[in-house]
Amino acid sequence: MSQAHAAKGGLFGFGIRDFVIAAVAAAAIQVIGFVLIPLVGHIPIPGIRSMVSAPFSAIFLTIALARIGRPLSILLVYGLCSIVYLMVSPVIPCFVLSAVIVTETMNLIVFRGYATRKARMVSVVTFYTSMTPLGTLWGSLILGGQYQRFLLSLPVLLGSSAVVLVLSGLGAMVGEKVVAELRRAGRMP
Amino acid sequence: MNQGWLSRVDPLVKIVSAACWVAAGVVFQGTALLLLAAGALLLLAWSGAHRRPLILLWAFSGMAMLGATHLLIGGTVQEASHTMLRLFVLGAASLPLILTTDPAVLLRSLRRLPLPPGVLLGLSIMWRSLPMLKRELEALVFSARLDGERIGVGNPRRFYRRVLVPLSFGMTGFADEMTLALVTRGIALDGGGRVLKPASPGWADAGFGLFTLLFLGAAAWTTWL
Repeated sequence: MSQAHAAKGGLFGFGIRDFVIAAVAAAAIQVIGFVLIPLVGHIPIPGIRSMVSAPFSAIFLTIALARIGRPLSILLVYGLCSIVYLMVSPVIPCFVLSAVIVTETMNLIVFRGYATRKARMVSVVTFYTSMTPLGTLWGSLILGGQYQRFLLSLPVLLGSSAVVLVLSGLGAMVGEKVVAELRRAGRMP
Repeated sequence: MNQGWLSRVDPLVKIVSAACWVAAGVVFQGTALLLLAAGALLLLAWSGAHRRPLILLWAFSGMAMLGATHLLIGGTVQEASHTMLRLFVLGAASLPLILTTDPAVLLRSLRRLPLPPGVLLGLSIMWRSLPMLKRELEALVFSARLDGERIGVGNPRRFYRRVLVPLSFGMTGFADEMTLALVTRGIALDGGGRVLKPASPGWADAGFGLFTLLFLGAAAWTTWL
């Protein structure tokens, strides 16, 4: 795979190998989203979609981050996902990419990449947790500010963000366990 | 995939149109929003969404629940109906793209855009990974059944051992093989995007564009003139 390592020079310096693993992880995240989110999509609780999908998506995101390891890896994975989300609704990429910007900025300042377990855990949890309030914020913006009362019910938003934090943390922990197994088998750099 | 006349519309035209419908759904109110909802109803019919009653029932019950929540938290009936109409327009805007577009045609259309080669490559691989993931999952479930074990998230330990770990191995194996295949074929990311010849717009593109312009123009006219 050294040839693949050498094949850098793409967007933000990512190589072919990075794009391939990001695409496979993005496909897994899409499958999880398309299977689980319709089951709860009609329940009007902020963050309910993240609650059901985050624990599973976090596992595959963690594996992709461990494999790529470079800064902006979440942007790579969720950038690909966002192109598909754009087909479903142009609103979804708005809050997904907002959460990506928040997480990547935090990661660039604090960790400068995803090489360590701590960097991956913190970033994955930050990403999914920040998506809940950002989704509600974008939702209220798109609905013409009529949903401000819902935004004012901050305890609900805080509660659901806390649930997403715990669930995505669990997902990231399981992802790290899988990463350790892959590393033992020589499948992880 | 529905094979109506919308399937002949260029996916890029559908993407631009969906963005315009969403923007209009956010900006306009009152009579203009009603006009947009009428247009959205036509989009829904042309996309063949009415042939999927269960999904429609699911979507409309979700909208009704959202409207009811709006009333419960102190909103007026008018505000609640506005929110529901807006959601209907936002939801229907993407139906032509979701229900009447062949993914291969969509990918081919996206390749006409001057996107970075890595993004196009990533999209193609993402699309090709879906059957691989499905095949792997089916094989894992079958193998568990042979051993007399039921797979489900109700038993996390078993789910981890029988699904997650083997699936992750399958994913990384697929990614390695795909990378090797791409590298040995000399596919590089810095060679510039392969921009295809632009397609000439057909009558379906023109008709769909005109339909969008007509409804958006009417909504703007009722609001600003």
